[in-house]
Amino acid sequence: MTGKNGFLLAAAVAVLCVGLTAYPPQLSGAGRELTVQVWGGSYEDTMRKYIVAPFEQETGAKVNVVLGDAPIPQLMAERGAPQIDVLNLSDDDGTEAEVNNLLQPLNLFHIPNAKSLYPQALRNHNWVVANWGARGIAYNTTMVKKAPTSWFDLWDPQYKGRVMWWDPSGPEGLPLVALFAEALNHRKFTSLNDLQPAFDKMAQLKPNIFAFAHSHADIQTAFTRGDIWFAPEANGRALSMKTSGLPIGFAMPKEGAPAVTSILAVTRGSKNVDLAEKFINIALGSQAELAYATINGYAPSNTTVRVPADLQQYMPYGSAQVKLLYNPDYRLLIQLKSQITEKLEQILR
Amino acid sequence: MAKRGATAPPRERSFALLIVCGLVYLFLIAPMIVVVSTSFTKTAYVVFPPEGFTLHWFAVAFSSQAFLKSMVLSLELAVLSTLCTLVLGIASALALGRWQFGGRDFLVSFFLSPILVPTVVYAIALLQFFAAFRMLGTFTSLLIAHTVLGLAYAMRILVPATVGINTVMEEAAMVLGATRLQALWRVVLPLMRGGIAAASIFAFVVSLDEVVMVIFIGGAQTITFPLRLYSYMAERFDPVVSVYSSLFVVVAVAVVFALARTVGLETVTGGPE
Repeated sequence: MTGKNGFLLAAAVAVLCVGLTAYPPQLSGAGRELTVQVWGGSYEDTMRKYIVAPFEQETGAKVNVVLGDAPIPQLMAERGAPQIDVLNLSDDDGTEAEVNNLLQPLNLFHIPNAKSLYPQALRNHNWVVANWGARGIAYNTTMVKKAPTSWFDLWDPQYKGRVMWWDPSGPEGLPLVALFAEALNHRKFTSLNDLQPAFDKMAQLKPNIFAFAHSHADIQTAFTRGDIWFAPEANGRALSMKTSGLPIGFAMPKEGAPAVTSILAVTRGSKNVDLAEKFINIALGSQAELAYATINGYAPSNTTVRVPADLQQYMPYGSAQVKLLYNPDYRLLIQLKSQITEKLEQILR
Repeated sequence: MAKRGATAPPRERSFALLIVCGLVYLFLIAPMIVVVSTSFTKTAYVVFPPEGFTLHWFAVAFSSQAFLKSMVLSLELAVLSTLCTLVLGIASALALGRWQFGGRDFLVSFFLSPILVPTVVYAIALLQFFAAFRMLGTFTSLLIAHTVLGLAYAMRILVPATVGINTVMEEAAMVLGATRLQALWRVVLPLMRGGIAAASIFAFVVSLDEVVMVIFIGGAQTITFPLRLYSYMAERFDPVVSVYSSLFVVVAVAVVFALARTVGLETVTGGPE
């Protein structure tokens, strides 16, 4: 290269470099919006602070929040042009969404934090688990001196009228029926007949049942009034009752406890899959997962997260407890739901 | 002269009636008393009777930007849908109340149908409808939904209100020089005052409390106050819930108060003018 050409080339490169530094690269999400559905209340608050804020800063995109459970009927009606990009799902509606082909398969190469998850958190390529609760036994620590170790401790005749159970018409009691059946049969359930031992067992619980709950508020009110001493409750709710001043403890029974799984997924047909995957990656990071543990009482799905010692007993923390988490075949449970509900109504009412 | 089967003298009878009325009122307002009083409890959980007294939960409740935004949204929706309901309702009621034409009875039933159908069924239908028009999650779709629902309640009140109005008054006004529109505005509507007031209350309250339709057709931009409260309760049950619930009680009392001051309660209840 001659001196003059070389000089021109160097000058051109210098101008290019100056130009590139003078105009910083556009944030990948600038001007774009990501719509995220989430359950309202403290779960939403933690999400806003520990996931939405860093995400908006990192990508320049704006996050719209839709409150409530994943609107499966709405997503089915919108098929192909969904309004929501990122879904927060629980086990039952996650299964429903999957069965109805509403989920976008995730590219785990775009979600590096997925490498640090427990194997149970990556059950298939359509979703990842962000955190876990467990539906164990919440109990009144003033009236019950020795923590229950088995579900069937609640059947003790001395606890007549001291147990609150979930209303048969709702979804919360379903996995417990399957759990009891598998604990009594020592094998997985495959049909309604397999559940019969559980129905027989539930019939024996009837005298101990004080009332049926339709919501967490019902259970909290009954504990507050001293009407009940036991209820199947999510660990996070037991923890928040204890934190607000009620004498409530939490126990993980040896038969297992149904997992309350917080699943993250991307809606099929979303126009913002890249941003959605970035959002999920931040949610699986140690900052966000630790926040959900310390603020909301949900155990991390990320193996690298260390939870403070005083909280560990109130959540399924560590691989031994994660193994106790019970995940029934929800597809089959959903198919059998109306029959199970009918049987439970017959037995319990 | 003593009558057969002694009847109590009027004075004693009205005392017994007073007691019964008092008990009925107590039964009706007891839930409201519980809700409002639990807002003041010092405990972090809802308990009745409340323990201690504090305004702390009010401070927490009103510092939530999210809830304040939802309150404003719900009020806007309620006011606008009530106005739309009144415009459509008064016009329809005047036609249905004063003309006899083929299909009139069918139309009256048709207008009332949203009340007969369970709200969930109606919401599912709206879901399909607005999805087809790509209008899910918009304020407009909720406005339309609430207007139609409010209209059903309003028509029940407005149609009978128009039936009693004698057209003679209107004709007299026009003979004296009023245009049709002036006659409507200055003669007919004032005669319907009570019905319009009652219809507005129903439409307003129905829209304010409505949560089922918002769940089905709402979106990120349309989180109304009841929906936000409902979502909050699913995660946490603390006295903040009581504070927000008390707001509904306050609104109801304010509406009745406003009515009493403006058109007078007798016009709404149908008592002596």
